[in-house]
Amino acid sequence: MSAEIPLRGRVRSTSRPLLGNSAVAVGGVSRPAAVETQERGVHALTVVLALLANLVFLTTEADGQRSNASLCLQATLESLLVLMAVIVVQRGRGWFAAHPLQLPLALIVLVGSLLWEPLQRLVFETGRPFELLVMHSQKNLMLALAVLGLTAGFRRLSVFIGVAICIFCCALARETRVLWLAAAYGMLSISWLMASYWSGLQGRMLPGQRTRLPRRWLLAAPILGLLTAAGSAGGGHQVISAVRGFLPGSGGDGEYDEFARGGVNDGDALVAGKDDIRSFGPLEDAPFADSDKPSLYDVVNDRFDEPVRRNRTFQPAVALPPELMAEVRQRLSEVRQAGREFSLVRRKRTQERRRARAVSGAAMFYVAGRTPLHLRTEVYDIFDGINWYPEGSPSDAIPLQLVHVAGKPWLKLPHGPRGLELFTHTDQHVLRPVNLRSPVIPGPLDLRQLHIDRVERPDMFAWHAPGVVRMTGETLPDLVPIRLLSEVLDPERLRESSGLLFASGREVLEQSLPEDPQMNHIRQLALEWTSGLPRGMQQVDVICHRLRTEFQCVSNTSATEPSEKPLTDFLSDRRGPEYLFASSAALMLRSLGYSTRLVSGFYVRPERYEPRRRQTPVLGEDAHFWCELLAGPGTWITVESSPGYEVLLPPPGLLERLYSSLTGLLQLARQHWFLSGSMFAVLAVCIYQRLFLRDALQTLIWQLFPAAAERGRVQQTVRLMERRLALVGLRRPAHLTLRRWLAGLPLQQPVAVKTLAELADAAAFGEFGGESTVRSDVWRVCNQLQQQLNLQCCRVAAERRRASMAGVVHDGAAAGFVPSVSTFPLGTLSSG
Amino acid sequence: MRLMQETVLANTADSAVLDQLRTRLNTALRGKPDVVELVILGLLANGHLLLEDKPGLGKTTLARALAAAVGGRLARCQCTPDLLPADITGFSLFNQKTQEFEFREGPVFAEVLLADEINRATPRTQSALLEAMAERQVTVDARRYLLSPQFLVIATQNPVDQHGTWPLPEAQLDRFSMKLSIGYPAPEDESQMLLLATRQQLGTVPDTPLFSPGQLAAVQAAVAGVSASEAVRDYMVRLAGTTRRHASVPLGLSPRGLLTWLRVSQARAWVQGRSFVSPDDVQDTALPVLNVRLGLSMQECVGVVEEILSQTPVPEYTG
Repeated sequence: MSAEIPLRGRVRSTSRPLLGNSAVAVGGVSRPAAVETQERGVHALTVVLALLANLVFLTTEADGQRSNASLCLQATLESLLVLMAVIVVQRGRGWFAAHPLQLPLALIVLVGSLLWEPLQRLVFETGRPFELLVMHSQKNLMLALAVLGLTAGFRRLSVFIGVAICIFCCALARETRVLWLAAAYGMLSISWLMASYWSGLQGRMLPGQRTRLPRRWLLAAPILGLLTAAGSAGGGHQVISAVRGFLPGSGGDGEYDEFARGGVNDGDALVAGKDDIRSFGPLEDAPFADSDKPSLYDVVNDRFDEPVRRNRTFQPAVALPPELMAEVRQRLSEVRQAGREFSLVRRKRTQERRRARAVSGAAMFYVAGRTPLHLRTEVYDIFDGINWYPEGSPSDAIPLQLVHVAGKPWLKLPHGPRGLELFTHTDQHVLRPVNLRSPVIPGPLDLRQLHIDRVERPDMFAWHAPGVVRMTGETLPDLVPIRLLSEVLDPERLRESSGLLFASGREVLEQSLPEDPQMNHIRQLALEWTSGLPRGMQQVDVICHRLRTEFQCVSNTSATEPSEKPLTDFLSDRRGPEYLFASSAALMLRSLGYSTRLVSGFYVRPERYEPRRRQTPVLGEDAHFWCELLAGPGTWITVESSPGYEVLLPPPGLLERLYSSLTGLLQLARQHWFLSGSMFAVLAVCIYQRLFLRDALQTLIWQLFPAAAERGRVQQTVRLMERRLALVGLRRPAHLTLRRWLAGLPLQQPVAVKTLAELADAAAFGEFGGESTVRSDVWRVCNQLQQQLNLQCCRVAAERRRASMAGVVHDGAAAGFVPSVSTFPLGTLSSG
Repeated sequence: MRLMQETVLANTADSAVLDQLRTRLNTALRGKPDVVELVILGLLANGHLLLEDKPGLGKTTLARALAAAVGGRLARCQCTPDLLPADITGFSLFNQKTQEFEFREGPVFAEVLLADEINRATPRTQSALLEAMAERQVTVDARRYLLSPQFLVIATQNPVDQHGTWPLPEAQLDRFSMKLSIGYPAPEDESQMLLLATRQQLGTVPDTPLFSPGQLAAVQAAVAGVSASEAVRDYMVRLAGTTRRHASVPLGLSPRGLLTWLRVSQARAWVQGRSFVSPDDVQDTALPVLNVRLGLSMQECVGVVEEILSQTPVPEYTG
């Protein structure tokens, strides 16, 4: 099987000691070739980073005004220029060591860049603004330092300038790809840091100590960072919002920095716009503007049709105390006069009228913060069979207080005593009304604090409903951010809590049911659905679950004529608008003895989130009804019975984020099943044939980039062979010579093995080549070696070695290398 | 076909002499080609040899055969406790006729000195060899006498019978290039030996010199010219440092020992037909070279040398 590999060259004899070709004497101490190699690698990485930063700058400078082709052409030309300069500098290392002209050259580039500008303005009548001019000169300095980066100081300075350029460009650029390029720069700079550290470490090690550059980690660390970033991004807007919370801001995220520059982020120092003020983020000092905007009444009617007025007398199913009954009658009278009641009997409007009054298309306000979110505007507690009547506002005995936090006025909303510790997190949201005519401030349940800049008087606010505050004026000021601080209930803690009472003893009206035939049907259905279940959240959950899964939510009533028994019809038809879902849930729970109330307001949909503006618009069609349940003294919880709506949960933990990312990824894969399946198949094939592919790639590189000299070619071949052996698990131990390692392996190409060992020795330790060495012979022998010691041959050897080791047939030559006197493996001249 | 057809060794005459030497030594000492190779390396490295083994294994026979092959004078010195330094170096004798002192040369003035049972000589006598072995000269009565440039000491000692012996001091041991053990021959070799004895053909090794005058010196000069790259030199320095830091080694490798190791490695490279030293040469000659100068027994030395070599990475092959 083996073939002869003759070589017509020879290893030249010499009587003088040879110097390693890559050794450079520095300060009288010779530096190992490994250090030189690593430094070259760091230099190459520095150049790549500089080119990347250059691309970031060019993209930023273009600012979308130039075509991609022209930009690519310029970047390519500059990159080629830099690469050619690097080659020249690398070849002239010795010259630069003798003539340290790097610093003057770099300074010439810097000054030249600055001096070129007036010339350019004079001759070409084009120029750069001051900040770009400064960064342009820094960019050229960075490239020059990268090219001349034969020493660590130049390389570090180059990367430092590159980081500054990337930060500058990220702050200035309007194109998303700049951010991606800067992110790539950041990832790659991790590799640079590792390689630079390792290179410096290698030079400081004692003779005899050696270490290997962790090349895998050079790739793995940035990839891990990239995956983490991608994983966070894959978690959806909630995760992005949560991540943003960790980042400093100038006010947009609740952080306040008095030194923040105007125009940065969406903080309170943002400069007001002139042309289209609504295209900006939340502004504190925007002008108040009056316009024809829909009120809450209009919004609800537009969303859920118009009510049919039918006055009924509230007859509770159970007898109420006389003083309470009198109070209720008084309240109902006031509510009717104000028209604040909500009727379940509604009439479908004609198309013309709908079109004339449609308000659902435009955003009424914007919300920055975590979503989904239920924003309450009205709370209803009394139901007479048709109408829900809003609950009265808390008495003046619970005054609103104004406190100052970090110099800012915050309205504190007091709350009564609580018997349960279910709140685990405090959330902040920012509302920016743009198209809503109402003094009521929509707020989440358990709103605790509220802030409007420069509004420092508590008498400008008043209670509207339990937990709902309104301003004393006619409407909320447009475009003025309203910051809301609320507590978020942990549903897991709620379900694990053993102290849930579902009553406080005072909420009589929240448990009252009217004397109405519909109530019997509701009660029977509630008992049927919850039969066998203990009192508690299980009953609540099953009612919500059945309503959400077995009923269909439609936006408007389908019948042109209003129904007299809307709840009964809804429960039999199993379809209807959201207020019927919420009413049914509230009344079914009341029939089981729970305290509930109906709430109207807005639902902030997460799918409307605008990542670029970092806020979620709320439209008129987002008006929503839901139910609230009393879990214990002072603790109400949101019960969402309408399908398609979710309740805001506490921010996800790390594991939940990972899970969310994973499920998002799986969902994406399912959506693009063909593409993902193909990718999976290709990936599986690649993994299965990874050894073959890696070897093919290495061999291709070996063939495409041959060294110029014979010695280099032989060393390339030796490297290829060693990598090939390492691929099949036969990595040579560092203390074994190649000859001894190969001799110990059961390779079936003895001539090739011997030739490889001899060539490796000659190339590494002898004076290889010379006039008598025929270049083509070296190439031919290397090719034959590469073909004979192919991957299959190495695989067979690895299998045979494993088999022999499993059979405890130990190969002495491979394991032990100290020849005993009786087995000294010395070749003889005659037998050679 | 060899990969490298022309090497520094491509001298047919040298090659033939080396083959003849190998054949002759293998005839004298049957079944021990590896020991013969090491002896040849020691000769080419211009180093002295210490043969340590049990009696009757052929130490003296090997030494005599080598001495005869090298040519020149062979001096045998049977070391005993009453052996005096002057018996080795020589002494000045007063000539009654000329009324002057005349110097009578001792056995060290031969080309090959066979010091049999060297550890039976007193330390004072052993020390008489220090200058001769290291500097190839002796000083008697404040007068310096140069020895032959190819002066070779082949010493033997018996590790078993220690009664009435003086162990060689470290300074003396460091002057040997290698310490070799011959060991018992294999059964088939012993059978062959008996057969030859019945035919009265055993021990009939010719005593004619193989090397022409000056040829051995030329070969030794060629060996000294074999190059050792910086990587290999650095590797050897690291190995030497490891011996000095090793907890089990009482005496680390000296710079003289390191030079000797390099020379033996050069000899191995030369014999292999190479003009440069490879890490294989260094590793293959590690045990016999270090065995004589680390202050360890043979068994201990094998383990320690293996440990030292396994702790020291070989130079990179690919730069």
